[in-house]
Amino acid sequence: MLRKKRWTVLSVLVIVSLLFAGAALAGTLQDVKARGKLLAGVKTDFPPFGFVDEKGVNKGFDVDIAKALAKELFGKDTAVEFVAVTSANRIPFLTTNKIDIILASMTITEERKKVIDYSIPYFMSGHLLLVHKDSPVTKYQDLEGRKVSTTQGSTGDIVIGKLVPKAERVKFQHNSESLKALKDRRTEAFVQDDMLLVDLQKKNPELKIVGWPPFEPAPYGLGVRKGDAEWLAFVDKTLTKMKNSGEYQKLWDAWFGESKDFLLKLK
Amino acid sequence: MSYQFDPSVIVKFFPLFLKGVWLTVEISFISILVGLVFGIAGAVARTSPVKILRFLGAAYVEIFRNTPLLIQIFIVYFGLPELGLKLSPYASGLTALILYVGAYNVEVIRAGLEAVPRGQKEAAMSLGLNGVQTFLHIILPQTVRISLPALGNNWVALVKNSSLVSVIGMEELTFITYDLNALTFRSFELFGTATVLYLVLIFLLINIQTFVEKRFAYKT
Repeated sequence: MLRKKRWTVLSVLVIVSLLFAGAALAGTLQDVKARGKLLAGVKTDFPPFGFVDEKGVNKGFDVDIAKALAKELFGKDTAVEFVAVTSANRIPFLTTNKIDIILASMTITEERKKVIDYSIPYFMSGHLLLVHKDSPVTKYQDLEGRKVSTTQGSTGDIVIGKLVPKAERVKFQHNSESLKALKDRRTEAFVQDDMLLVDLQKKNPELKIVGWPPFEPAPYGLGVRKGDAEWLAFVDKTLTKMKNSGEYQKLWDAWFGESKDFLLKLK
Repeated sequence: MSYQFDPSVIVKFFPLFLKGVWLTVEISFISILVGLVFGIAGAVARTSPVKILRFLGAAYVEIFRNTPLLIQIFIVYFGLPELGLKLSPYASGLTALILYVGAYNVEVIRAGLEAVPRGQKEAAMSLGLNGVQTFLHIILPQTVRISLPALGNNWVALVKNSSLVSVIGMEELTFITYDLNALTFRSFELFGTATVLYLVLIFLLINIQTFVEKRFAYKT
């Protein structure tokens, strides 16, 4: 008798969960307009794309693009709510409708394309290695048999898993933790996107960057829910408009100007 | 946007899930055993006639019971290296879990100690047992019997709390699930699988606890 009851409870739970999982949306553009503000998934641990300044305010290149989208939507760049995401949870946040768009230094990959749609590329990035000044590591091939900090869900993690399967990856949820593990010499290197590491190195002079030129380069894209054509068209249109008006270049210079000599160029 | 349940990811990654389950079982088991020793030692200290021991026992409980386990894990793993003590993720995670469950055990075992009737101790002493013998043969077995149901609660909480060590790169069940989710984005299938695995684990643990409880129960 008791056993029968257990099964009933379990089946009800499963059915309810399936119903919720299947809940669908009409279209993000209408939703955003009806809501009166944009829900933007941005990073807080990824300078200069998305970080939080001393006053607790979201800043960065991705943050500025989100503001530009809000301006295009509502005529004011304050009609945006920033939702902190990590490399690992940004896509689930989007697919479960917690955010309208991912602006989180996200590389366009085939794997991710199966789940979400991408805007036109807006940044070009490769991977580098952050190591201690006294480290013998000079290129990613040297990582074989060594401990490497990676961030869960990042392409840095995926790329090292593919290129140097014998490297021992120690994975963290945030870049700040991956960096701390390297600084404590728990790991010998931290593999991530070039621009982030350049920024982190500036704040941590005991570390250096190796592995030039950036390997496995790929463009970044903004992420929207799959099949939401109207919303994607709006995002692409806004990005193109920003590029044509020079606003994109202005933002690029402001955030990356100092690093323009080595950053990869977007075709 | 329609949702399609895809069991193939569960099948494909099941060996990885089992690896995670194994580490969860391992750290939970060690924490339960060592945490019991901490609990008994702390409870004896808290009920000791020596004031400084009572104070130390109380301080231990209050510090570890009244702060989040996540913060304790971060302090051991990221904080202590700055003071020169660098423990591996495994050692850091275990240390935090043991100290945490130990603090909860102290209170449960203290209650058990205090529930043993005074007459038991007096009778043992008058039979000529010394203090240590009285504690080991008379008091402790009765304390364990009284405390077991509440200890079981602590153990269940511990197995669930062990998921927190995933933040320092320990590849237990939650870490594996989170990591696979970051790669495949099949959240429902993956977290659903983890849910079922935790349910099974804790169901087994409760059964073991009930079995032990029955073995130790007063025979009427």
